Amino acid sequence: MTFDGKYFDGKSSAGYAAKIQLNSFGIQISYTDGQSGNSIEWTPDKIHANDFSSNQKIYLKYGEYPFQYLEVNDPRFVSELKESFPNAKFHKGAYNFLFSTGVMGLVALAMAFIGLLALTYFYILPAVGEHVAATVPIEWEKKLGDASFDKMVEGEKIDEANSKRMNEFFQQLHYKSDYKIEVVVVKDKIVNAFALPGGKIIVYEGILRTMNDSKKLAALLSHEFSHVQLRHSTKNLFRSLSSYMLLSVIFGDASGLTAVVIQNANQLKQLGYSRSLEEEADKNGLKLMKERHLDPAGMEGLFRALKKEEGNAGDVPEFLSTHPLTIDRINYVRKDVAKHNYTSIEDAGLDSLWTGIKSNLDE
Amino acid sequence: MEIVSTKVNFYGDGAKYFGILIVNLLLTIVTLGLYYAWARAKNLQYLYGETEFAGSRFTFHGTGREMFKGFVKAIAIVLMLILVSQAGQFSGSKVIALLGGLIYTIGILLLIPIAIHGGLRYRMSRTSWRGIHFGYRGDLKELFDICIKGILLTIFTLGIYSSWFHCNLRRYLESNIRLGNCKFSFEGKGGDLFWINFKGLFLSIFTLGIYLFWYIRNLNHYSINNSRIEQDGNICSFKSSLAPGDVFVTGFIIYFLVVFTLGLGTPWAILRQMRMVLDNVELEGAFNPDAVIQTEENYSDATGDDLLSMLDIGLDF
Repeated sequence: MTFDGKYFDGKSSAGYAAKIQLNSFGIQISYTDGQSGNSIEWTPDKIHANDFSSNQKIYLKYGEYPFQYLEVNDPRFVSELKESFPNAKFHKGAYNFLFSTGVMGLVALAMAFIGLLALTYFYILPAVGEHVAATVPIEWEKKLGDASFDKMVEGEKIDEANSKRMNEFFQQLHYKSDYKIEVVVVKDKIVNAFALPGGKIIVYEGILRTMNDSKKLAALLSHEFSHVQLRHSTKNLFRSLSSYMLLSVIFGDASGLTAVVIQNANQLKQLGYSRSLEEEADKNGLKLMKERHLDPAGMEGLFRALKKEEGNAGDVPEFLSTHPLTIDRINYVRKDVAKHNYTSIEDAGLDSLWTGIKSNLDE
Repeated sequence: MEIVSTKVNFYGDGAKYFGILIVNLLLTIVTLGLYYAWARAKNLQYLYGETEFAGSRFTFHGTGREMFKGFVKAIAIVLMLILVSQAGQFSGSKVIALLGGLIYTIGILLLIPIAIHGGLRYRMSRTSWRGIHFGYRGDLKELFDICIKGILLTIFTLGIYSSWFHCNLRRYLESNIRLGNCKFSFEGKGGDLFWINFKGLFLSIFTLGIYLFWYIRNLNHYSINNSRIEQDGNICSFKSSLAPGDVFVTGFIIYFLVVFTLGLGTPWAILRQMRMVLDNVELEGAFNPDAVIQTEENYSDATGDDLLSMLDIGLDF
């Protein structure tokens, strides 16, 4: 079968009308360049691959620089070419496979792509973030925590006397840790407390005012200490960082990433923990209290006091807004306590420290 | 002489382009970015292949392998500059830190002409039409002079000179571009560009952005209508018929294509924008599409092209 096409010889832009035939050696091209008739032969191995050839119009590129071209507008030529030279590289472009699958192939690919992104975003990145967080040196965490600490207490008054008492109180709990824990009491009526990476714990006066015994304070500190010990902030930071990284790869925005790193380092406060991390801190705190023979009712009492605050003020206390539903927390604490029966021992040392803290608050 | 018109047409197909970009993105992510060079090559191969002038398509010959080699060299250069500035930061001495920062800034500024020169040489050499290759014959030293003069004067005139700088640069680059034995040139004047920018800025503010469509049209016409191609002594002009209405409609469609598909419509939006520009271009004059002779050399170093992409400089030819 003979096809009509245009042949470009790589020397001039004049396209010569050509008769094209396929034979066992390759492609036979016969054309007239004005004066004389010519006939040349192309061997299939020197025809370049083309990823994006359409089925209507085919462009073949041949040989070394300057290349020769053949342009054929005949769908039958495409199929005959494939039949004659099924193993030639020129119609084996990687992307051609994709287009041969049609619309369904594209849709399937798009779905696979979105699926992969979702998988990466929701499972792989958090896991990677957590893994990285576990290997971060403590000094690094401390630096990060100190940076956010400075930012958070900026313009706030620190209650030095109560901070000192709080640290004594924490020491009396005798929790073992790789971190040097430092509790700071901030004079502010916010009902909240924060654990920063590296060991700093910020407690606002507002949350202390909702308490009426040492057990609740012990519960609060156990909870916050668990955040530090279990590296929750750092895990959180790396999770959101890796998510932003993925998003910035997709949207090609590297400068945005830098902004996020800076923002996160300064405002850990805004990140908030996920509910599962809060629950982990609750349960770990409870475990610590039991090992120390403290009354686990303190934990439940703390939640109840906060819940009451919720009812009084009309607004949800900040501590609760980012935490699991208070009623859920009361329930799982209660269940846990009921399951493991054990005795708690009153601790006069903690009680007297608490009295000191309380009276200082009231002054 | 009879005026023959030779049109540019763009045939990009959204679904196909979507597939290409998705595969590119997937492979880039899976290979942790290494595939990026190949992705760029495929992207250009596709877009050039869908652009037609006087009935024949363009071809982009650049390959992922060339672009990857260029990418490695470009990364090494930029990384070295970053290392110098970082080393300065950590040396503890304020003088050394300042010096490091200075070397970094000057280095990046000097890289701009190097990137444009190398990038254009590569991009032109790798582009052909009817088998005839483009070429860039500019001289790096002359380009340096234009850039240094332009940057300094732009700084001293608080940005006013930038229109003239842009115009000088464009004139120099375009006058050194060849398509075989045909020579390009650019006749735009700095004053005209300044006036377009001046009007564009102020009228856009006063009309709450409505003038923007005219501003884009004016920039487009300035850029295209001032371009010439010379064939055997015959000078032909490019002409753009882009109207403010086209800009408005395309802008509107692009906005909705991207926003309402959460970005999945981006490939269609890119093609739409290219079609808006390209479909409105034609060449006026006695240009003979059958009489272009091959003249340019092969050039395969893609470092400049990768630097351009890294510095985020677009060459809008």
